[in-house]
Amino acid sequence: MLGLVAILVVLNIQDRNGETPPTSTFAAVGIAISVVAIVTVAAAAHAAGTTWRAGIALGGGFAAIALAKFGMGPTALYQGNRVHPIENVGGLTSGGMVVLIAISLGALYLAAIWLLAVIFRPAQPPDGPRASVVVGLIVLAVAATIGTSIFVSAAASQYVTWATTGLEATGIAVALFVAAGLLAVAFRDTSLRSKTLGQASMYITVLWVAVAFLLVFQVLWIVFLLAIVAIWPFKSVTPK
Amino acid sequence: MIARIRLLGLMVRPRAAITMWTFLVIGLARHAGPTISVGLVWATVALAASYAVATSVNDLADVEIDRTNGLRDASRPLATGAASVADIRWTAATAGVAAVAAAIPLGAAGLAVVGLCLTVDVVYSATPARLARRWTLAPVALTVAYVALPYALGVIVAHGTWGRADVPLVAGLCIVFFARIILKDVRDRLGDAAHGKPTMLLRLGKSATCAVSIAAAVTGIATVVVAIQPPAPIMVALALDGAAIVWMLARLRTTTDPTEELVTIGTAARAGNALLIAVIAWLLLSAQGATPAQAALLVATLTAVAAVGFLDLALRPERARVAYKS
Repeated sequence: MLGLVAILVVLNIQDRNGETPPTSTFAAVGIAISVVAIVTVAAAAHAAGTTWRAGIALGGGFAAIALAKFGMGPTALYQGNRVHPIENVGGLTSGGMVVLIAISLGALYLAAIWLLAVIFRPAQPPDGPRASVVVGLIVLAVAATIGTSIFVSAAASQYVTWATTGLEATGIAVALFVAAGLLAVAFRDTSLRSKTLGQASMYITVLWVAVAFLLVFQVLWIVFLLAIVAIWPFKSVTPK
Repeated sequence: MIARIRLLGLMVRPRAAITMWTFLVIGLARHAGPTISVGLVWATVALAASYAVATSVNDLADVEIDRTNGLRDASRPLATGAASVADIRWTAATAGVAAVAAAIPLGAAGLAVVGLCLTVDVVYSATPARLARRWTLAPVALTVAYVALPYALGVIVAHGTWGRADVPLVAGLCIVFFARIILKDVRDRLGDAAHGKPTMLLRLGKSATCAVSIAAAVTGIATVVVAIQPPAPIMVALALDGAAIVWMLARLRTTTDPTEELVTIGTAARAGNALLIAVIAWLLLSAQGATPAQAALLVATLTAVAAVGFLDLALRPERARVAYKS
């Protein structure tokens, strides 16, 4: 439902004057989707039995992520694509490439949603996902990396370069930090399953950041492998 | 045979082996070029096998202490009775051969470093040297085995040459690790005291040991920062990790509940892991030609993720689960 609303908002908000949309379109879309996200996620969380404070914090976290994904991210890709066209694979036209990328990303989102559904099964232990789920997430990350490297390596490189330098990088970083902070507030106030939801949401978002970095600096697999080992299991500590 | 191979896998204790591997990767990252050679695989196998030798020899030497301390988890097959002395001797010998075999592709330098690792593994636990029973030498031997030798192996994998610039980094990492390793005996002090095993904790007391640990952590982190000279945002991230470690160590000093002590040490270790990962990220990215801003963004993201997990445990220690490096 949120996705449908997002499509409608994007279609109606864009400036149809001129051949290329102004960059401000992306900012407007980002803000609009953020508002939609905070309302729908907060309402959904409250309906699931959390307190309003936790629901709003969770919604705020998703709103910040939406701002990064719908506003800053597309602007970064747009800026990169304005200088160099997206790489053409297998003789596909620009429109064909867009469809291909959309299908690939759609499949990845479906896989992520399926994994979330597995994580939130009631029988799940409170210490986080099972090993098979973590393996699934790693496979997903590797698949996303390989898939995106093949199809959009140049654009992704431009995106990461743009998104990690200058004032825009600060914006994205602030958005993600706000998201992480609000999600942290959400887990403080919610029941165990809601906390797991918030934590998993943050990790999924970080996964996308990791995928973006891996496209450009493949050697970072070492860092992400160590990071996964360091944070998982979430609630276990090793004193010796 | 399958049971013995499974036992060999058990003795590697992956979580502890990964800690050693982290220092190998730091050595590699310090000297890294645009690509990483297949030597990393051989070095990883050699290091893991060497660690299996260390755990096997140590389990043989300390089986009674482990039983007194109630270490009856699957990672202590000798203490639980799941494996015999002969089985553990077999794992030590097999792992030793595997470590040497895996080091052959790394050349003479690799063989020399793995040989040193195996030597430390044995002299730490076995008679006549038995460094584990010398409270001043034991943490130093462990620091060499866990940090300096894996780092040297990483330099070899990167086809680099040990240089003057490596000294402050290795020194800083060793001091940070020393701060961590002198706390390992908190869990085992009952058995250590009962069997007359001298440790810094038993000799100096908890308060003094914590004070040494805090001083070492601060000194070590400052030395690492000076050695790698990161941009300001990464310096801030490392400082935050350092503050988190000091916070937990200060808490440990005043905590009396045994379980809370273990959780506090484990939580501090998490901040230490975040620090090491930030160091690796900066070294690898700078070697790959990334801009300081790109590296800073990645380190900030990793630090934020680590901070969420750390604060969750630091603010609600009662929810933490104590696990061992099995």
